[in-house]
Amino acid sequence: MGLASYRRSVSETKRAAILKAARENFLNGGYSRAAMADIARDADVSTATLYKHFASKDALFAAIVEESCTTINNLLPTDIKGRDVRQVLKRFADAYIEQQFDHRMNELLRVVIAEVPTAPHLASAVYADGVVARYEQLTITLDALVERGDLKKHDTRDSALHLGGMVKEFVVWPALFSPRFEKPADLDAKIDACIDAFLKIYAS
Amino acid sequence: MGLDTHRRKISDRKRTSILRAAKDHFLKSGYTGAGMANIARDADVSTATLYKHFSSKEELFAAIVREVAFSTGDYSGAIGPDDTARDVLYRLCRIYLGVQFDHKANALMRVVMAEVPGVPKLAADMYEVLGNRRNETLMAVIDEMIRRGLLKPHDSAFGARLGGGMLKEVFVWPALFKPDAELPADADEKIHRVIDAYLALYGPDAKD
Repeated sequence: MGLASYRRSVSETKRAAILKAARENFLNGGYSRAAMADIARDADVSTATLYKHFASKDALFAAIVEESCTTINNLLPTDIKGRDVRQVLKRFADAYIEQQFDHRMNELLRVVIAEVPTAPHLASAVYADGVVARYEQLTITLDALVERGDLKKHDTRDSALHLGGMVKEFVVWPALFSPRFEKPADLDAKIDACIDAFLKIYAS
Repeated sequence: MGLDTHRRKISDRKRTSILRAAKDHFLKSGYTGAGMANIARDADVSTATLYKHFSSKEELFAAIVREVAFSTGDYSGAIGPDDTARDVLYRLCRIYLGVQFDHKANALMRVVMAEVPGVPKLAADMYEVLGNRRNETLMAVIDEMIRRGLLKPHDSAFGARLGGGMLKEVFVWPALFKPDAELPADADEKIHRVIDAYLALYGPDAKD
């Protein structure tokens, strides 16, 4: 391995450690409370190195948002082929729940919403790249189900909100008010009940 | 007017002015940033009087949230003798959205979320009031609708969560991401599409 590629690999390792430490600091304590010095310490780098990678706390936070939203957009696309309508919706809901809990999207949402009065741009980035992007993915999936004849013809932009709202009631809203909200024990039953309700409203 | 009544009246007036000043401070500076001394000054009372009414900042904040959720969010008058299901549901939606937008429950929710790491107990209590809408007057109206046959018999607490979840998604969720968000111009249409969905679930003509 040449010197240049060695340096690059060290640099990438440090960058990954910074992002990991920053994520912990932001999600546990909130954006305002998180301090660059603490993040550098937790990532085991100097503050000079930290600032070489990310010019400001804002830039660092933006990188976290981007990372989270990229994960989102890779998890969601759902192929309807070979799955019935219920399986498609369940798979979509499961992917969504994985993002909210395993990828800590619930905490990210809470942190940016809390900062709306002081730093509204943080929330608007998450809204555009996370929230709206997910609605679009769901709408594409619902359109395919309408096309196949599983759902009646309707405005899928509305029904995407209706399905999202029912699911969020049980997996997102409680998490916005709690530091360590875990998946409810009866989660699968709740999700099935939401899918039942959705199909009662919109199945053909 | 007796002396006691006079005293009670003054005390009530002070309480009201404390609540008003405190709400402004919490919304402007957040829970941690709001100071009891500043609230007393803006309410034009002494800090002793303030603490006589509310023994702590936490108690004061909880009182504001309860006032918004239960006084402005009083659903008891929402059902009239000749109402259709849609009439009643529309009124319920409007009362709820009034609490969230006109009485600033959206902004109060954000204040609470900011305190989740610092004051988790307060946040959990406020979720029951603000997030979960444990509102007896609302449930009484829905149960009355079932009695009158305007809705099919169903698990009304669960149904309220599904209906409330849809309404929140359409209106409250996007508003949380923007400072001073207002209801959209096509609010009525959107409300009626949520009502359509709710009636498909629980209306008199809903499938079994």
